[in-house]
Amino acid sequence: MIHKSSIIAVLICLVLSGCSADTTGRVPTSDADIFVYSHMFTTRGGIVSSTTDGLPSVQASLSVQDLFYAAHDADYYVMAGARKNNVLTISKDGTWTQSFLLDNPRYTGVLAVELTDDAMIALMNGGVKNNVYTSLLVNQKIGDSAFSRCEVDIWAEALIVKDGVAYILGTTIHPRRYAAIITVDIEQNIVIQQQVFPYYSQFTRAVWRDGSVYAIAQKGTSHASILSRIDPDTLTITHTQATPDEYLDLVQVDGRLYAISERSIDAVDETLDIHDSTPLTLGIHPHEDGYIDAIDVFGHTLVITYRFDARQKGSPNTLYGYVIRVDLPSGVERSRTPILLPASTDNVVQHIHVVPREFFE
Amino acid sequence: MKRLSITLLSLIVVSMSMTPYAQADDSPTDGSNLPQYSEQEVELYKQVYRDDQKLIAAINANMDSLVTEGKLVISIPEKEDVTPHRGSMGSWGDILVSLITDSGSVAFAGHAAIVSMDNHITVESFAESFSPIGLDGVQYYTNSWNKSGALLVRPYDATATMYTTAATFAQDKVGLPYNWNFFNKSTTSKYYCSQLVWQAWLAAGIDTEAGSIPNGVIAPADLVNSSNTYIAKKID
Repeated sequence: MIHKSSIIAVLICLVLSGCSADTTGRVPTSDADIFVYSHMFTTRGGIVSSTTDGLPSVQASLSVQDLFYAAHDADYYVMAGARKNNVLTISKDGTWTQSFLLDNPRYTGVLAVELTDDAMIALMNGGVKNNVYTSLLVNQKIGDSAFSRCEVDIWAEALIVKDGVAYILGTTIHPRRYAAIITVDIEQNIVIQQQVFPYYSQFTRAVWRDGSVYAIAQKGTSHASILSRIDPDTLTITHTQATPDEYLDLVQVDGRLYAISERSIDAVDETLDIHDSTPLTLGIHPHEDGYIDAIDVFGHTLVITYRFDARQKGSPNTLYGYVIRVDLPSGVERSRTPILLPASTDNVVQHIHVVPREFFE
Repeated sequence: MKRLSITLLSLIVVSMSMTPYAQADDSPTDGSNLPQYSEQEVELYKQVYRDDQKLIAAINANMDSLVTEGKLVISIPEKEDVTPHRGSMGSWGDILVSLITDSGSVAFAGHAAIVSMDNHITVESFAESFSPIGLDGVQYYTNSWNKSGALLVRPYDATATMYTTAATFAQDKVGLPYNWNFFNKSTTSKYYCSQLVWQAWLAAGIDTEAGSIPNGVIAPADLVNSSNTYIAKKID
């Protein structure tokens, strides 16, 4: 005789096993992109392997939230949550693993993440203490719960790790909003230097090139970008170039620096003069209005994740935008593949990270 | 016609049994050990919650026309050419609303935020137990709002100075605790999410509750339904 309670218990187990997501797994890499999607407010997400046409093929559920920031090196691609202390790590063979920074899921979300020597260097949202905004720099080996930490008084917008030093660029935000840079020795966990630039309100992006830090700065509420070159030893600005454009990112390809806006890819020299400007075409049709969600560089290829303002619902898949590949320095668009996810995930998909196929090569 | 009539809508009864009831007095709480409200207070909040659900249903039913109406509003030039960046939405002083997700309130559904002077950063108030970063009260968050279901709400006829006043007001409140007494919306020592946004814009001279349900609580849906605001953008 089977008791009613036993049936209920079995049903509960079945439901739980069906709802809960594994903390590790593997997704086929083939020669196409992988899409990782997540929801802003809930721990519902998933990972989808696509075909070369962008069609979703294999998918798995993930218990991840608001995966917003990403970084990669030769071995790992990591994504971290802005509103949840969760990290998804993908290896070159397609193995994915969910984990938490600080080995503590209740700690705060992430502001920036970088990879160096198989370790995650991350800035975590620390809130205002004693009327000063403070975040936490965490240094944690991938696959290991051991970590070291260091408090820094900055809201991070950009993070560079070079030769054992973390260069954190952003804004002091509270009580005053000034652009700021802090350097931290990530072995000793000590702040080396910090510099505040009252003339600017924030640094938004930064990249290391040939012994200098190049950054995008902004003033007040203006969206116009001020390109800046910073001496990494003294943290002084050595060159600036005011532009009318709102640059979204700076990338370095083959030693050459490029500033990218929604309209163009501009080559920038060491004195911050703009030499070549290649127009960038994002949406092709009027219904494809959208925005650049992410920019990645692999070799000579610029990988742009372009998201539509309005997803195009369909059956069996919903179209969210395109992965646009541009060759540098030619500026020629090489391919444009759709970002398609199963319509069954419509209610869950908010943020999408594209792990480009180039990472798995 | 912005204001919605709720009288013609069918009654949506929402059980509050799944919602944690918090203390009704003004003492701060860490949100992790919440005492019960009195029965009388529970009944009050149940009524407010029902009103809120009806209002949300009305907004959703009229969403297309509200969005169309909002597109006709000419904003100030400084607000028009903002490029969304890394999933952010809006610019300084803008109101961001989700009618889906809770911030810890027992009086209403949804969540509201205001963009700080830095477009990449929002100011939001969550109860600690609901906070996605585990911090109680008013805090800075990453502006990751360019997401499905999010609404960008702006007051009519707001000037750049007003947007600055609202954003700065909210930033000045960072660090204050969550306000569990949802009827006490005038206090300046603790804040729930939509109370913070409402007070920030009140400081700038615009009442973003005007024209909505006058039930003593300022809900995220009130910010959308106000006769003084419009939907500038909705993410599908």
